[in-house]
Amino acid sequence: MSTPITILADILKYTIAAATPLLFASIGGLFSQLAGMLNIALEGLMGLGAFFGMAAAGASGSLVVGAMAGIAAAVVGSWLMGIITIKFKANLFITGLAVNLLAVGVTAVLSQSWFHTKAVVAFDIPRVMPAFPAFLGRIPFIGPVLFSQNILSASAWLWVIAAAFIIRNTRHGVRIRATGMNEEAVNALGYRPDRYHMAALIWSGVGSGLGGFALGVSISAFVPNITAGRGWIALVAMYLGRGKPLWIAASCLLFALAESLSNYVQGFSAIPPLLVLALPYAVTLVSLVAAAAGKKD
Amino acid sequence: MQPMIAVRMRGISKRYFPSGIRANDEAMLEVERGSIHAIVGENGAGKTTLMKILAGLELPDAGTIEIEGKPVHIQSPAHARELGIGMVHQHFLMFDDLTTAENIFFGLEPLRVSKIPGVLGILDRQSLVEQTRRIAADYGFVLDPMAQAGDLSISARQQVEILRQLARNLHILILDEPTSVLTEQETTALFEKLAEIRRMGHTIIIVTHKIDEVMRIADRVTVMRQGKTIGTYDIAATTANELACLIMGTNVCEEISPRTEPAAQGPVVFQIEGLRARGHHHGETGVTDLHFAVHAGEVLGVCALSGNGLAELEDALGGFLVPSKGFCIFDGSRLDIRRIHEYRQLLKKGAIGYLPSDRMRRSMALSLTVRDNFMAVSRTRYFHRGWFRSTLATRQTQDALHSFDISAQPEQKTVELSGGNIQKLAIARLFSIQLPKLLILCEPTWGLDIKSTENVHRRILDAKAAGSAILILSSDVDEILALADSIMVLYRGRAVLLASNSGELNRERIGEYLLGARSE
Amino acid sequence: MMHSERELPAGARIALAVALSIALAAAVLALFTKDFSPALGQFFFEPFANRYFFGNYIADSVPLMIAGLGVLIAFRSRNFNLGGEGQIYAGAIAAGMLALSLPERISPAEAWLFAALAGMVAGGLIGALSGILKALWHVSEMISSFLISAIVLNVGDYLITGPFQDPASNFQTTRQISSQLLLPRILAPSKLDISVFIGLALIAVLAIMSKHTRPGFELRVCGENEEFARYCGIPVALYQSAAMAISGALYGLAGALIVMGPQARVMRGFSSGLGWSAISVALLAQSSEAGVLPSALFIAYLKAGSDHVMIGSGVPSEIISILQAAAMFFITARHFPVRKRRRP
Repeated sequence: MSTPITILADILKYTIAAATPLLFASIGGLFSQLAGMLNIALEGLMGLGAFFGMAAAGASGSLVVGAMAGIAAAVVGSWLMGIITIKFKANLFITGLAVNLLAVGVTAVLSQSWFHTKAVVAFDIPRVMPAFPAFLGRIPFIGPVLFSQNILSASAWLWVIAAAFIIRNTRHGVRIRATGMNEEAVNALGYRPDRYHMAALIWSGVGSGLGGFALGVSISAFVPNITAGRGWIALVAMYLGRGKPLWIAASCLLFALAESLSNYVQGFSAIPPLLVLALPYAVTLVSLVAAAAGKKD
Repeated sequence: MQPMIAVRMRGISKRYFPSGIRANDEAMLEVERGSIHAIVGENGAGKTTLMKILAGLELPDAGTIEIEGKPVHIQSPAHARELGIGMVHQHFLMFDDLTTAENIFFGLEPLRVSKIPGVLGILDRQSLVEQTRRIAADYGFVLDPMAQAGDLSISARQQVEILRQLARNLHILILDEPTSVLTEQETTALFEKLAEIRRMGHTIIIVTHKIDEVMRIADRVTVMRQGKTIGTYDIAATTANELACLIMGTNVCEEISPRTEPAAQGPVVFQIEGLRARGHHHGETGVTDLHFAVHAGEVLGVCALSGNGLAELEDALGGFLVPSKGFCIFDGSRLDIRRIHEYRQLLKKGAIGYLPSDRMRRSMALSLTVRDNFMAVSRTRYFHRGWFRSTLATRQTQDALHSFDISAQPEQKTVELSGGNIQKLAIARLFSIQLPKLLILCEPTWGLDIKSTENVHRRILDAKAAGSAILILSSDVDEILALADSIMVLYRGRAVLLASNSGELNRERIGEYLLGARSE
Repeated sequence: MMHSERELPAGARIALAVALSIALAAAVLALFTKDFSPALGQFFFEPFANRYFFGNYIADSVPLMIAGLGVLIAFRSRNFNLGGEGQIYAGAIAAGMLALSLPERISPAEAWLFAALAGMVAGGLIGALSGILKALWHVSEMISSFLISAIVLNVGDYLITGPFQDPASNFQTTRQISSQLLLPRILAPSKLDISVFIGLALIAVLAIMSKHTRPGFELRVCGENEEFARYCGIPVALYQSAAMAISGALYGLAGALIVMGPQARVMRGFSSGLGWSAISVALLAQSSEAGVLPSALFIAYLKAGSDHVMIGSGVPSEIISILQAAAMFFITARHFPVRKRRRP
């Protein structure tokens, strides 16, 4: 017996949940953007985070271990990208593409080797604890939408706030931003821009790793192409946010809403599901173009 | 008692590659502690290079440096800072999206030690603001610590730069052309602050080409010319005119190239009215209110020192900068230059030939071959029905190389050529087309040896005799004097002189206009 | 610490990239197969073992040649076309559906021509869209081409499994194109067809155009130095958009030719991964059209090896992604940092 209100609540609830991986990854991408590097490997890094995170969580029975493993895997990927780009003076976009390809290959090969399948790998992981006490969940409308979310989704918002704080209020954050504003000045003042470039990439690894892990947890499994372009969508969300964490979060919610709507429409309407799947990409593209067109150079 | 020497540089030599230009040639410098010491000279005299060496941004090929009597090898800007040397550059090292306070204390921000120290240390914002206020007050600056650096005026940004050095307890301060971006009042204010800084015991070195300002603020002055140190003088014991002479080297300059024949004035080919264009960098003056005309068979030489608008004039006339105001009359028809597409058409059709001053980026694509660069501008000529006429292109390239005495092969990568040869190639390319009605030549012989310079000058005179109208933008006074029928001098973006090149004008007189010591 | 750096010449980078991907292939096989020796043989030698395998290997290099040329042209104008996956798909569907709706009495050659054109137009329009978005509004062509491709892939999947689905087949595919309209095979029973000559011809034509025609020259100048190109009066924005359009068109053509060959139908997901492989082909070719030939043959060789070793030893054919990634890392590394002790 679904009324329009419950349908809306469902959609919004799913939106907030779907925003979780995007929030993690896009804020991670923000760090590298602030240092002047457009990191297009968010997609691949998320994939690494999902695979290794789920594998570790399944093997250890602990979500915390899984999260750490997911972060570690993505950090290794971003570190590799950083070393080759910075020390070997490679092209950042090509190393980014390479990391994306590497993730696809590594996850497939290891999936076959460890789990004997390249397709869906289900993991037996503990349930993620809810973030709020149960009685809050019974408040009409806001209850299901906001207060039934789990701690992983809540952490995503903590991540946004923490990142905003680090960026604005720590010496480290100031230096990363300065590197992006005027690398030459950083150098002339006696600090090494290379270090902050690398640090920024590592941060984006942390964010993407967590984002990928969150994806895996949401379906208790790993599937090939689990990210399905979310890394790119996170990138656009970051671009739309113009460097401000709160605006980035808002963009993530927008794209998560598109995903949520497309899920909903698939179940209910006559529009072919495959077409509906294209909705999030279309929304992302239109937003990107609108934002770029609106910018007065 | 002997005054303590803060800085002593001896025998400093530095050569830049691949141009091979000797920026410093056994230069020397002695600066007394607690004084304001000026280094003056024309563009390319070597002043900035010498200071970059002192500040650790460049390494000398030879020479010694002593700081407060101790010999040192300055390896890097960080090392220079350890020695107490700080440099305020012409183009500021600002972080636009950080606040004033964050800019000043970048890298040394006070932290809240109660939380996490070290690199993740949390800024103690209150302390940051307090310290900023304090240091500004100490030296008599008035600044808002919370303002965004990007919003500050030029002079405020400069103050931030200076405070940045002072905040790090740097007691030897180098300022590179500090007043090139300031108005009169701002300059006065700056000088007051510099006097205050000197009073606190710091040593200040100012690099400038503005004699009038040197006379106002400095205690002693070192004159440099062509990479060498000419001499060091007490300000009290010299005059502006004397300095101008020393800078220009009037004594040395007897053999000026033969003056050109006074031109039979042909019709006006190109006329500019009310040109105004904004400067490239924040708030630089650009050019304001320029009016001039060039006749067929005439050379108009426009002369200015760097930072006074020559670059903006070039970019506007070359179609690379949209002016905020301006009309041009070319060959009878009037055109609003702001309609940049139409203006560029004139350049494209070859009616106006433009030789850029930036040889490395605008005039050439260094990774292409000599032949490719040569044929690029008039490329339509080398494709017959779509097919590349390789032999024709090679032959014409070789003819040009030979005719201009360029030692290069058409198949060579342009980057391998010396700076002088690259310029000769650019000129050869310009003159190989059917002679344009108007030639705009920017710094045509900068960096060329005497023989090549003569060659180029000869070509220019040939073009003039053939009826082209020629506009030369150059900071080389000798060149302007040798070639121009009329001379225009820019200072701070305005024309301070526009007159015919009669016997009245010589190096010294033009120098005075250039240096802002005189104006019509 | 003073770092003195030597720039690696292109030849050295290519050699490194090739050597490393081969070494990595061997390493992965060693780690993940039960029997190393037969796996090595499957990867490195089976593609040459007989006419069938060899023909298939060469056939797989053809779309890489053609699409790789397109990516190269985009690179020339400093553009990254990341929408190849969608552009191939679109080209294939356009060509396939056109071929299926052609009248009975059409000649094969006409069919090939129309199919090729359909593929190029489909891919070209998609590529052009990214180019125009960049020229007009500075939208990153990387991101826009990827997103458009993602949309196109979904739409394509829908079309193939929906309105264009072959009712007679259990697979997700369109109907089969009538065999007389297909490109003739060369090395039966492999799938190699005359499109290999089209690929070779394209390489030759584009190489010649690049060296001997005015657009080739102007495009090159645009890529080398944009400011100089402006000085010469070359319409930089136009060339950039055109390069994206051409790149899309060549991807589309590659898709069309696969469909008009022995595959004879558009199967869902048939071109997966080709878009990215074409990028590594273009990178290895290092700005030379002629270089696309050995580059495509090399990447196709790695792919063939990966496919063989999957069938033979069960290692997922996605090894190819790891190998391509390694090749890309090394081909793009420009400097090799060497430490030098600080002067006292």
